[in-house]
Amino acid sequence: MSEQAAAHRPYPELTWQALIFGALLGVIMTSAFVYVGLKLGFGLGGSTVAAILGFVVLRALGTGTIIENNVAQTIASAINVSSSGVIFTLPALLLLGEDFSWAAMILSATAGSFMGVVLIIPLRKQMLEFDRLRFPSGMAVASILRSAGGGKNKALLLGIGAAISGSVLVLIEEVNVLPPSLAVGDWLGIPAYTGTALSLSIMNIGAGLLSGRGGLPFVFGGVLAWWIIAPAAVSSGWIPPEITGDKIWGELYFEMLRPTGIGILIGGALAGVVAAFPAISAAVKTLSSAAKLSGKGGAEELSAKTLGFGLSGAVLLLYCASALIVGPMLAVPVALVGALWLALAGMIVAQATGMTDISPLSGMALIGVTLMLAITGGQVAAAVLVGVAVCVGIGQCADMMQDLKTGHLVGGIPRRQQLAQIFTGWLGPMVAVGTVYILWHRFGVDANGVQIPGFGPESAACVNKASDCLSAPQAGALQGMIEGVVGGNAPVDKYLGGGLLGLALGALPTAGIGVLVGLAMYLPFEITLGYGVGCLSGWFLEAKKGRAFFSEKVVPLAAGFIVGEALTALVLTGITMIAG
Amino acid sequence: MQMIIQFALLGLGIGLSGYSAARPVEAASQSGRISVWLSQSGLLFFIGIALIIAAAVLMRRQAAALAQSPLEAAASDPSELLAALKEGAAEVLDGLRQDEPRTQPICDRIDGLRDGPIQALVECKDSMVARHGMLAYAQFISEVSAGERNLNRAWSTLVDGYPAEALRAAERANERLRSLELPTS
Repeated sequence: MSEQAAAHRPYPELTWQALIFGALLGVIMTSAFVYVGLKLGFGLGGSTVAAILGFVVLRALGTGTIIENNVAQTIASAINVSSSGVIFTLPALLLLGEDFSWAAMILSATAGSFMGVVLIIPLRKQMLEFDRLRFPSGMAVASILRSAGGGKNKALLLGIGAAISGSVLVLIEEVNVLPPSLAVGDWLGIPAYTGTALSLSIMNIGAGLLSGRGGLPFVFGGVLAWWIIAPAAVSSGWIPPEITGDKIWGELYFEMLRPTGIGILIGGALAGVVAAFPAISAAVKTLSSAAKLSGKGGAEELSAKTLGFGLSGAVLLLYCASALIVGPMLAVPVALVGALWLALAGMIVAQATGMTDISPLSGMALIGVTLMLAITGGQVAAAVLVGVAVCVGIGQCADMMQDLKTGHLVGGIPRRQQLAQIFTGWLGPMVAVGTVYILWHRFGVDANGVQIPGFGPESAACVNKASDCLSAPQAGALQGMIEGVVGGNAPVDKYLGGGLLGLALGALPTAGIGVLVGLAMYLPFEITLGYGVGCLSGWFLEAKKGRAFFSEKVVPLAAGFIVGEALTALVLTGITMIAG
Repeated sequence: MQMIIQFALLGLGIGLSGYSAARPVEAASQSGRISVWLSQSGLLFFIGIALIIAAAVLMRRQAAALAQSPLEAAASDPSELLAALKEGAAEVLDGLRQDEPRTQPICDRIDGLRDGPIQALVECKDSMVARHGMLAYAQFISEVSAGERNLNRAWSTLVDGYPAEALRAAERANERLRSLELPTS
């Protein structure tokens, strides 16, 4: 090919290679991460892994451009995001011994996945273009993709950041020479029940660095929760006398601050919807006018019509799934309330990840399940069915926003990314639910024809402490929550009080304060503190050294912090799994 | 001083209402939990909420006053920023129209536009929304964002060795930005 012809060849973007590679990688990651989640109790992010593997594999195939690679990682993470949604919810139903339809679960997860993607159509404009939320992981993936052309210095800083965060994780997890967090509270003489420690997760500090000043209300919320409210609660005698020592922290966190934090998150988000209504409405209007001006580039985005059709289709799918469990009449309120909650929770999670990179997925699923238990009169299978849709959907919202942020920074066309996600997102629920099915049935039935549980603390493998024990700790946590709600112990007073507080915070002129303060109460203080160190450092560096220094030096280093820890965690998890 | 009062009211308000909301409650039923909580903590809780609202009113007044101050007095004048963005985008286009575009200077120029005028225009959001409304701001910033995204695309495609696609992206960016005006009331 002549040089001139080479310069004019079509630019590979939404290619078959990207589609097939992204889908294959997504399917492999989903089934592997479901297994990891059931065994170890945590999910793993797929975007960074997919971005790096994409470079290697697609380049080997002779293409692998920056934007093509972004499409591949978008597809892979869109499929993989279902794994964390499904492992938190569906196994709880199996552990509770409930009867349900597997087909309904696949339909529900697919409805959630689909709704998560289409909800993002107007939110992309509002959060990325109008509010300019930072989405630290999205920025980190963009730094990886751009590293080839970003100059040696940026690539070097990315590598140094990755090496530092990866090494610190190895020193904590494998060599055991570093603690997971520094007990700064002990050094300063602050009571242990405040949980004042600095998490040594360099990834967390990196996310704070990228968030900068915008993340400071989150730190303020943590300080208020753990240094003001917690000591006041202890001195007011709210801790039962039988609870002493280290258990005081657990009582404060699980019984008081966390449920209040969930309430604030919801109230803050409701206030945010009202405050953001003009922006969302403007986003829909600009989408509609852009669609009419396709010659001017309007075809770069999906239209408001797609949003309408997509949402209707997803609600219909959720209705069909619900009807299989609760019948056609009760399925109407279940599907409508479930869809409304999914939309609100999707906004909460997208905003929280945009501001902090932290996703309050379990709290949102818990509220969804609680709502459904109230609507269906305590039908656990219906509640978890909606929980599955909510978890998968809000995960999809957060992932899609991160991917679109990456896409904006590398110049991807949003429409192509969204179409790729819509056409492949259904694979995730099929694979995730299918993997859970296979793992649950892996030991077959006993002599009486009774199913032998494939996972859970009561499964034979775990009782015998075998290497293939899958204790499903996340599902166990949801199981405990469901039993609490069914037993009438849901902390509705704290949800209400927190909700009103979140609504009041919505009156402030700065958007998102309620979500950030709620998130700070929802999380242990060590995470907030580590993140706060990053925020303060990022703010200081941007103010003192300028925006250009921040982009040239801080962004690649912080991106390296995020990428290095994510990749090292994946490798260490693989080693743990292989070693049994 | 005004800012100290605002933050003191806000901190006290969140502290009081957060403390009251977190109070443990013992009751036989869900509705019972709410009435017990209201009777034990309601007063303190709503005093906290009132303080938050007071802080919000003061902050909104200050923000409105700031937004109405002359744009020219602000650190960056939006009309100058927009002009700088248009000029920079046109330079990128000119650079890409050369027979052999020089990748590094063009990429550096795009990075400079993103960290310079585009970022500064984004920081004018509050004053623009206060003056012209959300819809006008949304239409304006949507065009800026589309221009920015196409400049970023020119960056990526040029680095990947596709100057023709980079040129097309830069043309689209200029198309979006060339006739763009600041929002008017």
